Amino acid sequence: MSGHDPFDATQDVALGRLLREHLSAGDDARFVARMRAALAGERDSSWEVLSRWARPGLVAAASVVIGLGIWLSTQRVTDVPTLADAIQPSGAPTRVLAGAQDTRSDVVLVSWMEEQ
Amino acid sequence: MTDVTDAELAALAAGGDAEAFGQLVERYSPAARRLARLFLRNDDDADDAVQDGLLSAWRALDRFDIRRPFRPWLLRIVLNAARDLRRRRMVRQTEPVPETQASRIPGPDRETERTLLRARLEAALATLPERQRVAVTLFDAEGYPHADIAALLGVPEGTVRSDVFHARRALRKELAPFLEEVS
Repeated sequence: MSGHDPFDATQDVALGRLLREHLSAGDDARFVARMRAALAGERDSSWEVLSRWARPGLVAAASVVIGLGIWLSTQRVTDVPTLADAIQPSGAPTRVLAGAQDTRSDVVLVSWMEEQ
Repeated sequence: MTDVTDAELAALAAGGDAEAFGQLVERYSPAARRLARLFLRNDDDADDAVQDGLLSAWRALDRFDIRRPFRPWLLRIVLNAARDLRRRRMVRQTEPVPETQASRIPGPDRETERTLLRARLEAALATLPERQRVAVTLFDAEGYPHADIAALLGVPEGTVRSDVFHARRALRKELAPFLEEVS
């Protein structure tokens, strides 16, 4: 026996060597080459994933831009309604309302006092 | 590139440098393969698990804190990959060569002795609980300190010391003649 105390907190060199030899596959260089190839494949596949996402992404972005363009163009054609448009009764001449808009507060006050 | 530290290589690899990660693979894949073999007891499965683990580590490098030691982090990922693989598939257990069959091999030549040792070691390891198997291998074969093994296995350091002790005692009993020769 190697005479190594099982309680010893230092490495058991003889046992360690046996274990290492037994567990080593022995073709480490080949495995490293395999790993490097897998890593290269991994990087390629990452780009493939990105490129797969890129196409639908571009289509979606283009759709949004086109949709936004259409919406903006319709907004320019249809002007934002003015207050006059909002309160204008259907069929009433704009002229009448324009006159109403010009009503001065003193005239309104005089009219009200007369009524009283 | 051998004098470059793990942390430096890990930082480069985290930035997408596959060559730097390749250097780390070269450094640690032998130990990772031995560790995986302890769990899977089949060379092909062990290599598959190590590859899975190393690729997972490559993908997770941006989450690795380079102030921490790289080796335990990497081996923990490999360990988990080996456990996952074992769960996922029915492991093709390597049957230990029965002693009667081994001793029937004629001649005291080197090859016979090696075959016998392999069979004896395989059988001895098979009798150990998994944690003891891993602890003694990491401590005596890989030279890991108890604290690192404890962190790797997620158990207290005292448990690792106890595991190493029991595993050593069992292995020495089985391998006494071979150990005498080695030492």
